Amino acid sequence: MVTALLFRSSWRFHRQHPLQLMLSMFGIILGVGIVTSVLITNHSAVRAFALSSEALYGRATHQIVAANAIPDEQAALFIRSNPSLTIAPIVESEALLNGTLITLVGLDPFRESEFARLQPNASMSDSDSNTQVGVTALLDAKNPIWASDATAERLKLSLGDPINMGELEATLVGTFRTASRAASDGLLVTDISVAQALSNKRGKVDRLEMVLSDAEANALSTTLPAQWRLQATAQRQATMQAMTKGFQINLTAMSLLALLVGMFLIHNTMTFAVLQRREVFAVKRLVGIPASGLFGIVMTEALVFSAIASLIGLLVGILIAQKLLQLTTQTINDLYFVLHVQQIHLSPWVLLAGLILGIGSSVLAATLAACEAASGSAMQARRRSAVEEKTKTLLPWLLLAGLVFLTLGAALAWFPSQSLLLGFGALMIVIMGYGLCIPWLSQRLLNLLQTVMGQTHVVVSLALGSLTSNMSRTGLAIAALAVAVSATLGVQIMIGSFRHSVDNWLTQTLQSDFYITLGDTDGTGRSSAGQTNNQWLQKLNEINGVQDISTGLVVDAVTNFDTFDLLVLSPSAISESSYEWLDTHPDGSWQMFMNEQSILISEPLANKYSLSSGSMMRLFTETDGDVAFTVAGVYRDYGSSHGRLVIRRSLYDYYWNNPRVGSIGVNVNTAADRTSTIAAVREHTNQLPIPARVRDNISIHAESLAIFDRTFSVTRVLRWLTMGVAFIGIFSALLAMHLERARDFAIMQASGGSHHQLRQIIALQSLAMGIAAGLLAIPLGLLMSEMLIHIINVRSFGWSMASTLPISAIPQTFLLALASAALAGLYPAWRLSRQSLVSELRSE
Amino acid sequence: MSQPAVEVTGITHRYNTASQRPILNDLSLSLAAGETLALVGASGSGKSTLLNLIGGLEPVQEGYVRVFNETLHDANNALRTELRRSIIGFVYQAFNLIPTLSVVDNIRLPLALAGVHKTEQDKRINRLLDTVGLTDKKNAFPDVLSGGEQQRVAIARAVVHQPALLLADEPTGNLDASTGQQVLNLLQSLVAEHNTTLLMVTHSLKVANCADRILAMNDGQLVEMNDNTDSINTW
Ligand SMILES: Nc1ncnc2c1ncn2[C@@H]1O[C@H](COP(=O)(O)OP(=O)(O)OP(=O)(O)O)[C@@H](O)[C@H]1O
Ligand SMILES: [Mg+2]
Repeated sequence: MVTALLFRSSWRFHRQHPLQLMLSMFGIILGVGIVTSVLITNHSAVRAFALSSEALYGRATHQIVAANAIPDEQAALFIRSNPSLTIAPIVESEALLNGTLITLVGLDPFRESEFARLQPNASMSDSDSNTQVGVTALLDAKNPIWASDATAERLKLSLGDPINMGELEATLVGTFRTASRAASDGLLVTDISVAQALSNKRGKVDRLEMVLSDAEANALSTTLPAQWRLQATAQRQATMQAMTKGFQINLTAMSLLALLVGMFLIHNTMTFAVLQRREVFAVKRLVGIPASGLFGIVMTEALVFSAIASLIGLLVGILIAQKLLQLTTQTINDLYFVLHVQQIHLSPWVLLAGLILGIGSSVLAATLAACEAASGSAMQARRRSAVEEKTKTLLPWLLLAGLVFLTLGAALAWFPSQSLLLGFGALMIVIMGYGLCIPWLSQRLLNLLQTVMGQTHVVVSLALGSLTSNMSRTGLAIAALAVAVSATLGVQIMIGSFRHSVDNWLTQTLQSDFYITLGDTDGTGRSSAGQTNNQWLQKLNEINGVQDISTGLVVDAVTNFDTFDLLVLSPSAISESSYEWLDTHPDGSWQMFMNEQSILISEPLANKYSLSSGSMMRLFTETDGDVAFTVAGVYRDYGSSHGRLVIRRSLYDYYWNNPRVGSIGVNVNTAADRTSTIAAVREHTNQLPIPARVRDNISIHAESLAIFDRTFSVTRVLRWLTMGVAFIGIFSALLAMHLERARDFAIMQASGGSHHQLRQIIALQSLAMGIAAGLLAIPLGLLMSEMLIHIINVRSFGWSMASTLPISAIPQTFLLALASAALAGLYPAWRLSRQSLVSELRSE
Repeated sequence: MSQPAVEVTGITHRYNTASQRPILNDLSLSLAAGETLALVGASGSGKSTLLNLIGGLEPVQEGYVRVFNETLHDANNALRTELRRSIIGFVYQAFNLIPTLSVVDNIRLPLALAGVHKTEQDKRINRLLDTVGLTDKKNAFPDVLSGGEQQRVAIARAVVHQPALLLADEPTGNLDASTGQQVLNLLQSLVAEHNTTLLMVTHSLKVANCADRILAMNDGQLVEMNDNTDSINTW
């Protein structure tokens, strides 16, 4: 009975303050939306990865790989000598088709039934075979290809369409489907020989897949030749997923920041709702309702509002996720491996997590307000100034707590660890610590403003005076705005520094004037590499104006740690200068690289496995199996966060049997004419029987930077969304303050204050809050950028870099804070002229 | 003086519903300069409404309101503000002090908003504080003051800019008898000092009897009351 009464009273209160409630709901909706969208995106990416692995590997439990693919004859021999095993040879490659990255798999249709990966569509399958991929069709057409339903639909392919890949033309002869449609998105399937031809891997298969029991696997692994390796499929998948982990943690952390700012909003609203009703609460206490009853009321209110808002937030999250997913997939493709994800995947667990985070954080944020409602003697609760007095005595304690947090955060940050989670923990603690210091700091700042400017005009003094005397509200609003603005500054500096470093690195790395890429580039930056002959290379070198050339080939290298990209380099005279050393060998890194059994490793690899010059690393070679190499040096490389190796051509040729060349760097004689030289190089390149692209270093540089910018588009989107939440925060704080003080404004007006003066007061208050937030945001922003650059980036990507401060960023940040505060003040100012004086004066 | 301080002609006032009986119904009132008038009437009869209309706190719906020859019924915001700064002082039924300003700053507010020079402000405020007997509490905040003290601050704020017309809505309503008397004496001495016109709403017969004239609000109209009217006990 009493409870029902209490709730009716609450309901009436909130119905009378709809805007305030709506704003806070909107804040939670956005906060939950952002977090949920990131959760969904990450989950969808993981899920897509699992599905596409399923489509690719089917029931295959193990695979045999070799240091440099497996020649057809060896594969056939192995299959023949193990008649009890079902073995499927596979060719897999990535290619660009109509501008879209696709995966082309070559398989033996007669061996597929055991693996259960693909099902041809009934309408197109041959009548005599339901489980085999259209045998007769494969035999009929020249270079027949099958596309999955999803791929055909997305690329708008219909049967009989010609498919141009590499130098060959293929024909789409059918479609197939997999258990899950999303699993086979981006997948094309063909016969092994066609795949070999299309991907320039004639005479070789990439792996042999098998369904093995553990015992069979153990037995088999002992009998394999040294050049071959048996891998569990699950193992490979786990390694690949681990690669994107850092990236996903980054996204999650960004989204949690948005939720943190959202928490401020709910705290603000609930505190406001309690302060507004302090008289009502006091009266209720006086008539005998226990403190716990009032506490319960406020908590229930928070629970109900946040539940509604979180539910809507989930829907918003699903919408944002669609967009976010595209951006993330792009980044994963740019940075890690090819992943085709088109559909978001909604798991009830992810949605539940979003809901719990939303409701949990709101209820947590409301506890302070609920305690406020329940605590204090009833008489004291009637006094507004008592609340402010309490806040004032609380400020130094908040400062102290903030300093403790900051110290703790710093300690965590310096703690020698590679843990990314720990790094983000430190960052969050530092942000919270600084946030706790902000109310005290802004009070000081406002007092200072008051002493400096308060004497100038009564309006100024009134405006600033009521800001400081409403610190319980203003302090928090300033803190929320400052944190959000500082996050945009921190991220801006981080991205800026990163870009600057990548720019410098590209300039240093791209030393040659021209680069020739041979074969098809597949969009991952890797070339399927073409066969060249030494005679052709010799002629290239002799072209008038060409100083000298270097050649490179990127292959997969299996090492004792993981599989990495291995650059096989035949250096030119200037190749050495394209490496920036982060760790050199006492005997001279380049010297060693050129002359000894050694390799160069990139920074992320060195960081991840704590390697340095002189360390040993084992590579899985074609001729001798496991062979140890000395690390001759560690070089800077922003090209891959997974890590890369470099080996000199002559050493590679000793252990591997792969004479292909993927790219050629051409250095032009300083005296020669660039234009005529490149024309001659182009003409010479055209004589090759394989496709080749000639590009100058400037355009490669620009393209690489474009990819870099693409990588950070997710971060940018999240940053602006967070800023949006913060804006709502400052808006609702100002609104709450002015709603609460509507009577004061009415009194001022009744005492002869003009609308103009009152608007000035609001404008001044908004500006003062903006100034305080802007000033306080700058140190935090700088601190955040340092932590992002030197801790988070190193731990999530393995890249170190110098921080560069774009000078314009600081005034920009300040203006951003000022502008959002000013904007937030517009509505209260407008509302002022519409309020009824009498009804405000009447109420007490 | 020939010119009346307040001239109200044919005012009709309704709150929201048109069908409802008007609170004020074709009401007229004239107040000579320097006169003290007491307004009595049952609770809810519209006394505060009338005061708000004269004070320019509420827009006039029908009829004319003139204060010292300034027309209020068609005044724009700027003029109303100007009138409140120069001519009109208001003591509210609720004290309506700003809780985040100290006693002295609450009193200072009208002067400050009107742009009176600081030294002049201090001079007037100090004298006034002395008159209302709150010098020792000048830096206190309103919520630690007693009801009588708060009302004295409200009165000081209402007269600090030396208005020619003081509107007081139940200045003694919330106070006990002796404190009420104190406040009333204070009002009277302040009014006498500057020959201020005073329009005061009250429920107290004793207070009403101090006035030059007593009007009763009845059915949206004003009725002049003589000392021998016995209907006086209806309120
Ligand atoms: N803003 C408003 N909206 C609707 N009705 C109102 C409003 N203000 C006052 N009223 C109504 O108008 C009538 C007159 O109110 P008013 O405050 O003028 O009475 P009063 O004579 O001052 O009463 P009291 O002696 O109790 O102060 C009342 O019935 C009241 O309910
Ligand atoms: Mg009244």
